[in-house]
Amino acid sequence: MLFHGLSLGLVKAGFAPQRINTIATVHLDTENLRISAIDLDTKAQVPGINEQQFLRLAEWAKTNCIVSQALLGTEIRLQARLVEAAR
Amino acid sequence: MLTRTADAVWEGNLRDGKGEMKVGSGAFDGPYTFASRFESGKGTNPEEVLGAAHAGCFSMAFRSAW
Repeated sequence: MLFHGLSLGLVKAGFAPQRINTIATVHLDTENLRISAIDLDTKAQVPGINEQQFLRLAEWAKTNCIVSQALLGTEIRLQARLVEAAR
Repeated sequence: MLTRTADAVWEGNLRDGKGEMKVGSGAFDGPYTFASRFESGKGTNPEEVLGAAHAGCFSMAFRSAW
C-alpha cells in the first residue's frame, strides 16, 4: 500500500524526480556506544512542485520508509532540498 | 516474505583483531577493525553500512511518493 502524492492531491501537474540523492550521516557516540541520531540529507530536481509539497513528501518518506520503521528507537533528522531546474 | 542475509566474522581480540562483513548477494564484502569502527582506521564499519541501508531505503520511499 504505497502513498501516492498524486492521488492524495499533494502533487498537481509536474513530473516525478528523475534522480534522488540521499546522504545518510550516522552519529556514533563512542562514549555511550550508541547511535545518537541519523541525518538524512536528500536532494532532487522536481519540476512542477512547490517546496512545501516537496517537504511534505520527504517527511512522509522519512517517517514511513522500511528502515526508518525498523529504527524507531533512533532519532532520524531530515534535510530535503528541492533543486531548481536549469533554464 | 523475503529473507535477506549478511554474514560477519570476527577473529582475535577486540582491539587488534579483525572482521569481515559480507552481504548475501555478494555485492558488498568489507573488512573492519576496532580502528575502522571507533577511530579512523582503514576499513568499513557497521554504522556506515547502516547508513547505506537507510539512504537507499529512504530514496526509494521518497520516489514512491509520486
